[in-house]
Amino acid sequence: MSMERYAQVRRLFLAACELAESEIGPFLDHACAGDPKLREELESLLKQPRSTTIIGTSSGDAAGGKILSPLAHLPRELVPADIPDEAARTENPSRFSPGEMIAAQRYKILGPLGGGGAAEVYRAHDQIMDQDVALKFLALGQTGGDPTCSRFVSEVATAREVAHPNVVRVYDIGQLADGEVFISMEFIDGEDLASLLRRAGRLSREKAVQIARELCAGLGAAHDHGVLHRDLKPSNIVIDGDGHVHIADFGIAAFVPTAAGEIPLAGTPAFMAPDLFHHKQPSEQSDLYALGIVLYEVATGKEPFGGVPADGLQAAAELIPPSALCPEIEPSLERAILQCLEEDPSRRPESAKAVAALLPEYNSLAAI
Amino acid sequence: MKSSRSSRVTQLLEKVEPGDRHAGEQLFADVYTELRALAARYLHRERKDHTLQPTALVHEAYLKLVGQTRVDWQGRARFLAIAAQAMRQILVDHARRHRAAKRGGNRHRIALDDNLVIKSNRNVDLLALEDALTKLAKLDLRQTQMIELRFFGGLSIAEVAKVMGMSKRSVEREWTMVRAWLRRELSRSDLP
Repeated sequence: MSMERYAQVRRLFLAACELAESEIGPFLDHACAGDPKLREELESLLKQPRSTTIIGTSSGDAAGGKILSPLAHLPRELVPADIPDEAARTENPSRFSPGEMIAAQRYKILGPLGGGGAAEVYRAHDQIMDQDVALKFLALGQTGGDPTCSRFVSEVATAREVAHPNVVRVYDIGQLADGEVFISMEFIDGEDLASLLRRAGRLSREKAVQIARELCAGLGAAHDHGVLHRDLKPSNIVIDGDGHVHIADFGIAAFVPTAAGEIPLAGTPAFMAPDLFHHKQPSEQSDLYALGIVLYEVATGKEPFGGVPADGLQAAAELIPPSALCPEIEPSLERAILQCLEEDPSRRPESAKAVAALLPEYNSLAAI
Repeated sequence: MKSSRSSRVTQLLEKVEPGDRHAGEQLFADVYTELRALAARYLHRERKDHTLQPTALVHEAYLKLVGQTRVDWQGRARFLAIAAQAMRQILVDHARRHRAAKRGGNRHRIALDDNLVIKSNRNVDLLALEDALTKLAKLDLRQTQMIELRFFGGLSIAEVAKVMGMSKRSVEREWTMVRAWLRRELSRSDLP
């Protein structure tokens, strides 16, 4: 077969994939008229199963063998998350364009916000409340979730009660005519911590302590309402123009698809506490473990354990103390980080406020 | 302490211009050497009940060669593309040696899944996959690279999209074709 011939087969195959089963026959009749070989080629490709089952064995079998190399998860630094997605932008335009009015004319779309994984986030103007908001589309429809399921509603209802300067306020659940579900929340004009760290490497000693204190305050306030974050990580933390912390996505992690389009069961592997890999319930302590990882990165610019998840599959990587990477780290911050990263949840601090209390210049009011 | 190879790799990743053949070859040689050493530890145990994850090896090699150094996304993408290529060669060389030794008695087969998992004596024949890839490379280089990244580099669809500068949707479409084509080729080679 020549390249040209293959290109022709490819073009017709991709076109046929877009068609309904009943339309394929007539399409081939037309496209392959007078060229039975071409038709044969296409039919042999189109009859292949298009599901994700594998050849020869079931995927359960493949996964059942003993895995020799345990580094099954992609280290986060290997994931080229910050690649400008030019092609995607031109080929796959945003769902909404600036100026578009949605949800019964209530919101005017202003533009897309830095996409977190597969969920789409837009800055919009709420015409009724006359304020800018962030709208996060959860693609629940695509993933088979039920937008009105009571667990989702109750998660959002609880998250909505948390009002704290260091927590992004959740306003409401909305649904478009086509069934698409979104959450409206406070719009913070700022940069997420992941991109800040990529730009700046690590943060200064004072800045690291201030970020730590505000993260503890926000986390503590949510925990007081019985809301766990479940997926705390730098990309969920927004730093506003004045340098203050706003934690986003409390409790909704379980409903936001990852970049790979899957609904995470418990969060992002590299930030998940060892206990979560052992099917333990998420707890304040598993949030604190994620906090420890975030603060380690804030203070040193590096990921503890090389960004490899603490899933217990690999020999426990040695934790390099932050001060070995960054001698100027505030010693009490280092102690707080190490306590949060204790493998045994019962050895971690008992609450976010307890972590804050370890930090210097502790102001008891700041943690309220 | 970093080995000289490791710091050279980091430097090459940062500096190699696409098309700089010499630097590209050096990078490939370094990555290949490291990966082969890692793979040897697993492959030479010759245990049939064990599963090898090339993807995991690529990550191990990355941690070893690049580790904590901050490399920009082009650097990471370049590493993954090169490592995937090297991994493919290592596995095929291994399978060839193995076949020569066993006269076809104990061929290495792989699961054609999104995460490449290699098991002895199971699943798809690695050499048949290699034949199919060689054939495809003459027809569509882009699709071939996609398979390398996916199977031997362990990248998800979204990551492949970023590395190749395509939209996720385009990669998904191409992947449907690649899958169908591979399935067909491999089922043909499976016939007695």
